[in-house]
Amino acid sequence: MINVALPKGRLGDRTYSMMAAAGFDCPAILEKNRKLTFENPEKGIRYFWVKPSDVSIYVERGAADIGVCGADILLEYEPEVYELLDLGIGKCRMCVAGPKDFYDNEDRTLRIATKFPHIAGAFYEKRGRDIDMIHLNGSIEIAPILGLSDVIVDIVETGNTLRENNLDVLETVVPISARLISNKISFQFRHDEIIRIRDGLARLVGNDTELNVIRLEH
Amino acid sequence: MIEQKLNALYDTYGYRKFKLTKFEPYDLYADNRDFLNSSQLITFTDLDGSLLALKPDVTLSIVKSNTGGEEKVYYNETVYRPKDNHYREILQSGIECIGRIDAYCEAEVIALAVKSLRLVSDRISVRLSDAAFLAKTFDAMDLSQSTREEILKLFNKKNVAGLSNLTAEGRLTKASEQTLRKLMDLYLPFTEGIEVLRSCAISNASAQEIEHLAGLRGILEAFQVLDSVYLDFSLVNSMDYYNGILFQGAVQGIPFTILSGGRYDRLPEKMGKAVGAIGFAMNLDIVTNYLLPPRSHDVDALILYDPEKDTPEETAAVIEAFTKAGQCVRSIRIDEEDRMEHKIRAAKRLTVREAGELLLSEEKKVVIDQKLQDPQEPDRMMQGGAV
Repeated sequence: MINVALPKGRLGDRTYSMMAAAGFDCPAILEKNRKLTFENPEKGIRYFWVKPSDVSIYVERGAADIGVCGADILLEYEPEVYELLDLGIGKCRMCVAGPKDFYDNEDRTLRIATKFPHIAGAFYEKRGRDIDMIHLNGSIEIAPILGLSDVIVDIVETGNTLRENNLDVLETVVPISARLISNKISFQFRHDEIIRIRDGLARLVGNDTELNVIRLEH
Repeated sequence: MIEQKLNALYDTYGYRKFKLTKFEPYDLYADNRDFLNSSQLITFTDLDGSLLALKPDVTLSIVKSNTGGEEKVYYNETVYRPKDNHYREILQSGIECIGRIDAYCEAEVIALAVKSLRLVSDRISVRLSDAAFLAKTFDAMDLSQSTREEILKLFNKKNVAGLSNLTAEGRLTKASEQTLRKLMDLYLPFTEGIEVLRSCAISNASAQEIEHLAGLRGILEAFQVLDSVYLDFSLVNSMDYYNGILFQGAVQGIPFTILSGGRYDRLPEKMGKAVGAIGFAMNLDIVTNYLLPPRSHDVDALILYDPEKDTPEETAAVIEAFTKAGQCVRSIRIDEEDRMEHKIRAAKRLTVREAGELLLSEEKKVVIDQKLQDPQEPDRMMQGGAV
């Protein structure tokens, strides 16, 4: 039985839809109930939903053999896992954003609000820019508006929220997409099964238009 | 338990037990920082003012004590290392083989790694990589230092998508990407792995390294460990510690690597010793934590004595009768049972009187044993006095 950690939300729906299209479907997941895990013994697979940022924790510690999570999580927490496949879904960018007319005065320490202090820190350290890191847990866009920070480092999908608040993307830090990850030990002892799933999904990468996305209850 | 089994294994192969002091001069670690996972140490001053450190590593001490002779040693030691922002005490067991290291020595150490893991579990694997082969391959591709480092990081994650990015950035040629992709994807039993590897040789130097690896095959087979060894280049070689083969071991049921080792000639070289070295260490804390089956109960019987009804002599006699029968018993005053600091889980809970009756009715100790261990009798959780 392969344990698969799926991220709650839209990315999870897409991921499961890809898994189903690759032949690893699990009818139990479509039923409306309060179950936390869903099994298809015939296919030897068990799914469960977790908070997207927790997927890598479940996989790193072997509670899940494989899982799907955004590259942002992998870059931020650097979990000890294999990154087996770029699924080409959940595409977005990690960006520096701020007021449209922002000018970086290098005499001052740059104040940065972010949910990703590790990524932001590495980005500015590479350039030798002195920064003041403000670690927030959500609603990052409000920080420059209220003067809490000069800029923010955050994930930008469409940029709509930014535009509505007179903010703009100033720089792209790194492009982000969803990755299939695997526990390093499971990869050894469940090698054939995991490779079958990886290759099944790899055939679907890029064929996004043909994918029938199943909406699921989380 | 596992410690004794491992010691017996290493004794069988003639390795000598190496006993260390708890601490070493701080300078040993400061001078060889490159060979430590972390520069953070627990330090303190000796009475004469010199700086000491609790040992974070055993290998450094063993190599330091070597004077250039050939030796094979093993150890069980606690080391002190930072983890999650705190110092931890970690129990390690391992072996080191120092001297002129030839293919036989390498294979013997790998074989002992496999046999060590087999003492822990039936389903095990040892993954083998070769830092020298990768270095020669990168040489042939004429890669810059920073690109090498990035590629090694990608190897560690088996991140094929990352390789394509490097090619897109113009830092890798298409042909190099194809070769690296094949290497990155490789996870195969040793014999099959060598065949794939041969198709990845892109220079004479890298081909030589492959033949060196291939030379281990027959020896591993003779040691009867070949079927447990896999080739895999995703092993990390942090800080260039290993200069040749490196390996990591895992067992099913533990989601982490529990054994790691390899060839580390640079350390003795740095210490000015003309010897080579290879060894491995196993983290015993993780092993015991994951694989010890939880106990169903702490004692076989909890005997409650009532100071108003039972004389101390009667209680003592009952306790003695039980222990003679090979039972673990815990005695407790009946009015103290609710106030026990640690609630005890017992297979049976008996008053002195009940215990006495049990002893009387079942004259033979053997029968008591059977009764106490009667599988029909469900284990009862002795939470407070609620039974």
